[in-house]
Amino acid sequence: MNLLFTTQKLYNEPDMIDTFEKLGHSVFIYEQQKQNNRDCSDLTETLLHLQHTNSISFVFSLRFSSIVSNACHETGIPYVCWCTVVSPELYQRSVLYDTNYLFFYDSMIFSSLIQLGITHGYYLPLAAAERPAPMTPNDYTCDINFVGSLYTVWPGIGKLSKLSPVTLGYLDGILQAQEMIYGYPFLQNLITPAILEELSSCIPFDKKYELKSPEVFYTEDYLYKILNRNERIHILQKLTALREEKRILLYAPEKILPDKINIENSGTLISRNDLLAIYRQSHITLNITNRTLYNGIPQKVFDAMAEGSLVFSNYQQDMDLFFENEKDYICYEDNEDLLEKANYYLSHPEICQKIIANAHKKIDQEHLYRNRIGELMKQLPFSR
Amino acid sequence: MRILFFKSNKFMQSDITELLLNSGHHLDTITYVFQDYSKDDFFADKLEKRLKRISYDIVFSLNFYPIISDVCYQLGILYVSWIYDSPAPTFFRFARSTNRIFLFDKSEYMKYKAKGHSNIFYLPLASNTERIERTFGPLLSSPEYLYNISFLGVLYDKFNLSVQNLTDSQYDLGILKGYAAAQTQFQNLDLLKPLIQESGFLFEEDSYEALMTDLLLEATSQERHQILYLLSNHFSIDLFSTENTRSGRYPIQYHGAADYENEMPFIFRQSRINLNITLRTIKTAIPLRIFDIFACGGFLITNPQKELMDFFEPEVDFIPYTSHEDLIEKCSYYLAHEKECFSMAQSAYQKVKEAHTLSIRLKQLFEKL
Repeated sequence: MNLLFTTQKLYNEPDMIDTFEKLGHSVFIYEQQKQNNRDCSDLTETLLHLQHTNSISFVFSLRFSSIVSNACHETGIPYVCWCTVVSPELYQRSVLYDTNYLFFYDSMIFSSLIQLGITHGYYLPLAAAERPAPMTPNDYTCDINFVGSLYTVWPGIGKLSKLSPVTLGYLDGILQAQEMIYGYPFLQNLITPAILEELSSCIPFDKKYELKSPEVFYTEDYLYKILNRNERIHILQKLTALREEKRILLYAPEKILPDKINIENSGTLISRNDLLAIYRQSHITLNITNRTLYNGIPQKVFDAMAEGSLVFSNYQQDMDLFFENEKDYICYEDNEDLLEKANYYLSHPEICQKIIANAHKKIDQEHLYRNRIGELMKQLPFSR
Repeated sequence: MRILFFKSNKFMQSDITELLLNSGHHLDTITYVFQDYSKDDFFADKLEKRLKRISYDIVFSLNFYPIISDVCYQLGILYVSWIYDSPAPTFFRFARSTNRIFLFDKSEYMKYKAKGHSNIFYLPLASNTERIERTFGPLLSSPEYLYNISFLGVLYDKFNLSVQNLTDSQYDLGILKGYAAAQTQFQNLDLLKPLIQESGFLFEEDSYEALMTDLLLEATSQERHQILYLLSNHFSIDLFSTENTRSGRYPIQYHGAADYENEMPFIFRQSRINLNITLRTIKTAIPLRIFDIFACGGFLITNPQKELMDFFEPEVDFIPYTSHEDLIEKCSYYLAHEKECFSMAQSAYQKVKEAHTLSIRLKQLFEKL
């Protein structure tokens, strides 16, 4: 088939274009520029032109874009989006157009968008990019790596301090409770009308979220970010205990690390290849899922498995669909458990290797981009 | 039997005394209000004199009073107590051979049984169907409904004293309210204990139980408000309660408290849906309200209280809800399907008449003595 791939400078675009081509499709590229998101006229023109000349079957992107959605809606060309990167535009009205064919990698977000009324919605987990060379035993230079933000600095983090003491306490209380619970996000259920009123007076509701309720907005854009921060700090404080005996690599953008995290911070990684190299060199790759990814399997899990690193992860419901705890990866239940298991598995390299090999095999057979694109094409009603 | 009945509580008291008399027992009463449940020489003396003056087979009370237990033990008289509060705040100093203690909560009973207490028994509550039938007659046909969805109960809006004693800080108070809020999201998982233990709050060992109770009451309060607020966005709600504080912020019909014997039965029968949201301190037991709703021929939608399943069947006698969304859906469905509601109300009513009347329950109690 012929497709127009609209690019947004995302990390996975080159590999995805490659995958489509290897599967026999012809890919035309349109580079999206940053624009006012109502003005899709350039893209619309391009589409109309392509419709006449090359008979494009659909437009494709890896992050939902309102401009693309609008252009496709105007021209009647299907917009196929595998939403691999979070976009606030997913909560704008253009997501409801019936020219959209949307694929989500989080089963909870998938069902909530179905409930919102999108016409063609599908579940499609992420995947690893194909590696050209077969896996050889790794040269491990580090025991555990954690690559990710600690969420200590982001716009708006200070705005909550204007709330009354009792409300601040309430929010801290519910955050402490949510930190203990995986698999059931409940913060949005606990924003009472009174709390909502107080939040709205400190932080204006962002109108670009046309389809998000205020409760969900405040919890996803503020509370879960604070939870990410608290959780990651607590885990790293716990891991500090391993610092003497184990080599821990931390790559976080924070210039100053919070208290009691005595681990050297190597800063932000420059490239995706650097990132994959870190996984390749680490016995264990630690995944602490962003709390707004409610059920989904993050990219890191697929990448680390593909690179031959043992994945340690919090519980994510969608993992159960494809992977088995203690067979393909290690699921930790809380910080204590994480520490114990890290010590155990680092002392039993043979067991690690078995699990790493299992995971790698699964990735190779079922979780590469070509598997996903194949699946995606099968689901599209117009691709037959 | 010659029974000395201790009067202090409201519910079930007059029903029980009436039934005991009707069963042919000789019944005298003694009335008192304790200030200090642990030590009261005046009352202990008064009771002792009474028991020495007239010979009784048993002393009987609703809920447990340690001072009564002490006196009865000294005089070798059986002390029967039927506990229907959870937790029972005055349940201490109870390990005496003259006590016969009946707990309405099976999980509490199992706990004590495991510790080796052979004088503690399980006895669920019941409703006085005889009095109720005198009010309405038997449940024959679908009643005339006055209310759509009714909730009858206390809202526990005042965050209790033990918490205020723990901290002056509004922020700390907020944290505790947050813990209680989180607990409302779970039926069977106890979040409060690990939260409090890891919290860094300082409190004395013996105030731990009181703190937990207050947190559970706060959780109940928040949960009842959450549910009433959510439902009020979709349906007309009638609230029968002592309080109308926070609920004044959302649209419901508020009626004030209902009298147990004279008003409550009518409310239950004349509501299309009777809502039960069990007090969070009651872990598994069937609250009195549920037996009363069934006995009055009311249709019940309730949180899934464990012991209910021992005697009644979901979708045959009542409807359980599993989440707030589920509750809204079910209210919507059953408001439009009155026949199904009435059929379930009838089924529950029959079951109560056959096995869960106060009369039957008292017989079961006496069999254990």
